Amino acid sequence: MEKEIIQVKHISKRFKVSKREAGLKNAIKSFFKRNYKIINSLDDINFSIKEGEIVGYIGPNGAGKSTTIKIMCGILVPTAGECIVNGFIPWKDRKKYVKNIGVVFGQRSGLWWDVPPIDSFELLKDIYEIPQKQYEEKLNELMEYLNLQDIINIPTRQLSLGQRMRCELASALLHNPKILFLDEPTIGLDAVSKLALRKCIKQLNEKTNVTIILTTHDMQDIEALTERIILIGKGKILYDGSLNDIKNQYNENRKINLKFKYTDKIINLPNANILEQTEESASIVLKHNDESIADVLNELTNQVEVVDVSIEEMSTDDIIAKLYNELKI
Amino acid sequence: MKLYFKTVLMNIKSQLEYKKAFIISTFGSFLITFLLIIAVYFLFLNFNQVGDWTFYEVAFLFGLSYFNFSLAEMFLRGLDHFDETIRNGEFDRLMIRPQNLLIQSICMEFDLSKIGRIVQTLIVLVISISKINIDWTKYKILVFILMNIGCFIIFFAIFILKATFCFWTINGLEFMNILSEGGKKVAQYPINIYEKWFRLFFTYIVPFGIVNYFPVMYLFGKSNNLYFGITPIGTIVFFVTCIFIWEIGVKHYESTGS
Amino acid sequence: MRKYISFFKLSFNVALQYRTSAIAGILTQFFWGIMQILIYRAFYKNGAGTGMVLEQLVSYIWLRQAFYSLINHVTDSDIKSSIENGNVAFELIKPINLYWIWFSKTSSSRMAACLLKCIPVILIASILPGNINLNGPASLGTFVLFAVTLFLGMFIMTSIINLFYIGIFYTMTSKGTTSIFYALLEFFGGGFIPIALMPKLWQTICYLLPISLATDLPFRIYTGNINILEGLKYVVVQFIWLGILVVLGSILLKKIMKNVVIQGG
Repeated sequence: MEKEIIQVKHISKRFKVSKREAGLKNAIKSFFKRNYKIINSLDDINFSIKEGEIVGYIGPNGAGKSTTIKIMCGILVPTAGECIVNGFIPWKDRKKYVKNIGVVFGQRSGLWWDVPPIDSFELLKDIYEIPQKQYEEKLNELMEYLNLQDIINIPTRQLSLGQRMRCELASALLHNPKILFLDEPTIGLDAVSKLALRKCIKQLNEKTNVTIILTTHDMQDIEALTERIILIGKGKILYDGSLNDIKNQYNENRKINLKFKYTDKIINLPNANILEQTEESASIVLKHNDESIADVLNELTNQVEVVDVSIEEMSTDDIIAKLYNELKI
Repeated sequence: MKLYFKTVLMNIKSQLEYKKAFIISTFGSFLITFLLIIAVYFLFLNFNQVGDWTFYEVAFLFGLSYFNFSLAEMFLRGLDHFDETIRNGEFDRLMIRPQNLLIQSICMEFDLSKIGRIVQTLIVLVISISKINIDWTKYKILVFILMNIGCFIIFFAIFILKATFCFWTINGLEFMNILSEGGKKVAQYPINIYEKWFRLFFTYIVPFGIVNYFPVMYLFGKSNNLYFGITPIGTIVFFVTCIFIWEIGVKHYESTGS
Repeated sequence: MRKYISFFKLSFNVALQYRTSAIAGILTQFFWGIMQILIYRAFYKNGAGTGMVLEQLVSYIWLRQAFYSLINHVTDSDIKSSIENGNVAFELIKPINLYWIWFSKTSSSRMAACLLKCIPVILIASILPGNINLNGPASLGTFVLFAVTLFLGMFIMTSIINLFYIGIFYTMTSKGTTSIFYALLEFFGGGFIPIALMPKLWQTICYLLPISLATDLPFRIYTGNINILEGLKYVVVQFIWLGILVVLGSILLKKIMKNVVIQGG
């Protein structure tokens, strides 16, 4: 039923960069003779994405994220490999292909700075040759989903970043693309705007079934929006699968901190290890991740008079940091 | 075409948002060419003539060259500032839009403030025409129009070349100014006053000679050869060559993305 | 002085990184030189004008091209935008006088750029065939005086440019003012045509302004258009102007920065 809208097969990309060392002497040397080295920005990348999916494409800086996105957008031609997006090879027949995609760069604006967004939209209508009727329908739809009514007539430079990003989203979707690339959409946004934007993105995906590829450094974006992540490091794909799996795999066992009324009894639990215990407090780690906390707590209340309980869990950020560390990327 | 005018309109709107800066820029662009023609006038005060060309004849060529250059600067500002488009990554954005890249690049900017220079060079052109005895005929009017179109085409092509250069490096742009700024200055004198090797370069490689010396010989009645008058048509060859080089540049950008 | 040397080192290092720029710059300077010489040669064919003989003019043009980076009108876009967007207030945190920061930055980047460009241009220009080459100086004395006036001239230019930066505090926009500044500086500095070829009245005006002390005087000394004795007098004039421009600039800037602080940036 769901067709694979993006297929990336064995994509590699190599660049030549000039090397430079610090210091005046080396600067003079390299003025006359440049040293180059070849770097493998992407090395045999493979994945495919189904229609309507939201995929988080993550990895540390310089891992090859934006190179992959550029290739999928048709901006860059890979050194080797195949890529088919919605039946097109992106870098061939560019003009026809790009009508299928929408792109939002979080760091750069696609709107004209000095005029209100509505003027930009009108121009995009002409650039993408969208029929008037279709344009109006789509615009109304987007205004509703993205809550644009009040901001669409204010010059872009006077909008807040959150408002601007909502307009950017609209501008990328006016021509009704099948695929939406979001490159760090929440960068620089405050907490409230981030939540609002995530909600908008989620809603758009549900209502229009647009396929979304999201790159970000904010793991909360990933948690809120995607089931599936693709992790890239040093030009290679290191993980492709569900976020929950990786969380379970890398999450340290949950830790329970307890406070209770004075006792000299030693706690004894079948399913958990006691890390430390004083006369009024203890911290306990579950032996297995699938252990029910409720059962453990039940057992505990039988043994001591519990005053306060707190459960520590690793955040996704911690997990990813641990993952990066472990994979040495 | 419609698209171009829409973006131009958008640009004008933006520029009018900053009124003071706009007025000062307009005055600035006026002042430079004004002082330049004064400098040429001073030279003629000192030397009377160059070759067998008088001040007003040179002023005519000055007007022709600077007028069309200013037009190019105003309409093709996006190409003139293409290094910025590359540097801030805007070109990537153009590549994800379903339109011709060259046209989109041109549409990036439109510099209304060059209007000061355009008006002023037009005045130079008009005054010099009124001071020179030209026997206006149908053909001569046609030749005059051809000269302007040809001159604009050369600057257009040079601007494309200059922008293309940015696909490889954005640091050596000064070099390309030899063609744009240098060409503008070379073309303000009839090219037969220069040494032979220089003349050949600016006739056959960068063909300023065919919009300047040859047609003006016919226009001023120094020659009756109508073929001299229609030489500006040859600029199309130069233009097409430059478009071709641009396409190579885009290919290069696609494989390096830098 | 230490600060100044490290500024210079940094600028030189930066200039070296952009090899293509440097080569492009040399070629450009060279081309402009050839083109101007060809134009003037055409004028001189009809008989000499007043003011300068062709041979002097050719050397004059080559020297101007070779040392153009020292005496040109180019302004620093970082400094300009820092004034426009108000970030200049942060410079007050640093324990150096803002006027001297600008002064060091401008003059050191000029020297760095010149160091890269002047030698190739001079070398090539000296060996050109067909009477369009650069001639050597008349004597060692002329050369020393040329070097001294050129150096002082660069500082005069730097202080004029500093005044331009100060002017941006009043206009709050540098886009158009930069081109007005360029036009006036080039015209009255003999950039559009050498001052010696202008009508008498205009010559007098140009020589009364300090710009020509940077852009014209050193090269006329080298080519022998001004003799050594007269040249020495001009060195005194250069010192006087430099003093006036620096004091004026410092005072104005101090006054403005006080207001900047009061308004809170």
